[in-house]
Amino acid sequence: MTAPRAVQLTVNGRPVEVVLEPRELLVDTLRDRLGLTGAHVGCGHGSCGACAVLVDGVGARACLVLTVQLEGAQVTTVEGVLPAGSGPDGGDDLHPVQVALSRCHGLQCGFCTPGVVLTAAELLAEQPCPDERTVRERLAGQLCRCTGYAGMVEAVLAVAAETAGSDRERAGDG
Amino acid sequence: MLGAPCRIHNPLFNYAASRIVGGPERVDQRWQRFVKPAAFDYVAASDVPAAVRALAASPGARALAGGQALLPLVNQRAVRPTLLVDLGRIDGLDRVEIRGGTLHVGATARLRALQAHPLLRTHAPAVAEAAGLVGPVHVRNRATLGGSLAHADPAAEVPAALLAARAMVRIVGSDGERTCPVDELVVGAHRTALGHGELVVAVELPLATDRLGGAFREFAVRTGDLPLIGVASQVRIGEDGRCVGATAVACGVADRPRPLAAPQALHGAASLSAAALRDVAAAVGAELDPVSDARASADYRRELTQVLTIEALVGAWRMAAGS
Repeated sequence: MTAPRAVQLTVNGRPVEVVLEPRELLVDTLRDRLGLTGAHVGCGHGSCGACAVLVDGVGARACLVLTVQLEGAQVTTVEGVLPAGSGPDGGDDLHPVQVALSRCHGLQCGFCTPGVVLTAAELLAEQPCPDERTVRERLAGQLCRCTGYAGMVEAVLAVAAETAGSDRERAGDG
Repeated sequence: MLGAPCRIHNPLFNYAASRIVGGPERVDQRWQRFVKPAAFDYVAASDVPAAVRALAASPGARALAGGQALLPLVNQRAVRPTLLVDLGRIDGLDRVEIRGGTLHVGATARLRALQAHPLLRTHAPAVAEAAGLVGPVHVRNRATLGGSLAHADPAAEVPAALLAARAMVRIVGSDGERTCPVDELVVGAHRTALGHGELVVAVELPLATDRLGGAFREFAVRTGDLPLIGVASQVRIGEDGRCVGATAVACGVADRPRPLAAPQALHGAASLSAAALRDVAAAVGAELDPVSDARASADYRRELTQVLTIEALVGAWRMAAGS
């Protein structure tokens, strides 16, 4: 009795209903049914972190979650890391972490990048100005096999420094 | 021939095959052949009795808590459950509270919440530290205390720390409820004394009466990996400033958490002298007979356990003395 069943969840703010077998993994639902190919399948058993998504606002590995577990849940993928239309001038823009990764050479082939973006964005939402150790600890679960981690860490710290700078500016203006 | 159903159980091959044969109907079905786990049924239990009934009714059933240990195995088809009983929807099963003179930690309490939980930090500091060392953050966000314990990986931090903290495990089955210590529950590598249909529902930790300190020290090749060796230690210091209890349990040396007898020599000590620590280290080396495998020799494991035991004892002692 592994008959397909209906699951309702919200993905990047959009309510969706999918009919699936219990064995379907969240990452496959996202990629193959919803066309959200940002979460990548690196290892398929929770080692690499390339499939990172947020479930109810908290980071998770989409290959270690069954979609049937998520009835009523809110899922955010890298495609929704910046809510649509929330960029400058109401347009679709890049998240500051994405801009910084590009500027600091924090990616090469890009396979691990979506997981890195989500992990870093989640960290910065919790702690706007983390220290380098915290950044490294958080990124430890995201495996990169080409460019290494120095550029990634630099990028996250650059966003943190910008936040701190603009906070100071605002405080100075006030 | 190209249109024949693909029978090779290699997702990559099937994916490649689906690209070769093409055709819109093939593309639509691609996800069906790209699944990783073997088929199973799923039920989200609404309460503990319902979970126990579901587990007892089906021989191939497995309980699903955070899924961070079970789903990797299911994805690789190393484990093929016929039914997964999801405990994630059971209200209150993740509760952490003082109840009946013990610290009650519900089975589905997430490790991420436990690592910084003030009650756990006070009454079972070694367990809180162990929780913070499991996997990367995204795994701890979903992994649970009960799941880590019942998975019984010989290198896992949580079962060793629970044993060092003298935890009792609450188990519910068709015949009712029972309680047993961790070393009666974990009987081997990935083997527990849980009967068919039985479920770990909570862990009960003794409340700290004396000044209590705890620490977990480990060596892992990469941050977030299972450690090669880990040592959990808790130290209790009485009102007169003397040690009234020192425990240490190692993971990664045997097929289950291995309690170390050596720290008992510290009972009655008023301080942690270098000589006493040397004696403990020597005794640890003498009492251990670690496994030897491709990752490390028995000698290396023994030496690592000696070093980590000392570090954990010092950490636990300092915390106890400082409080």
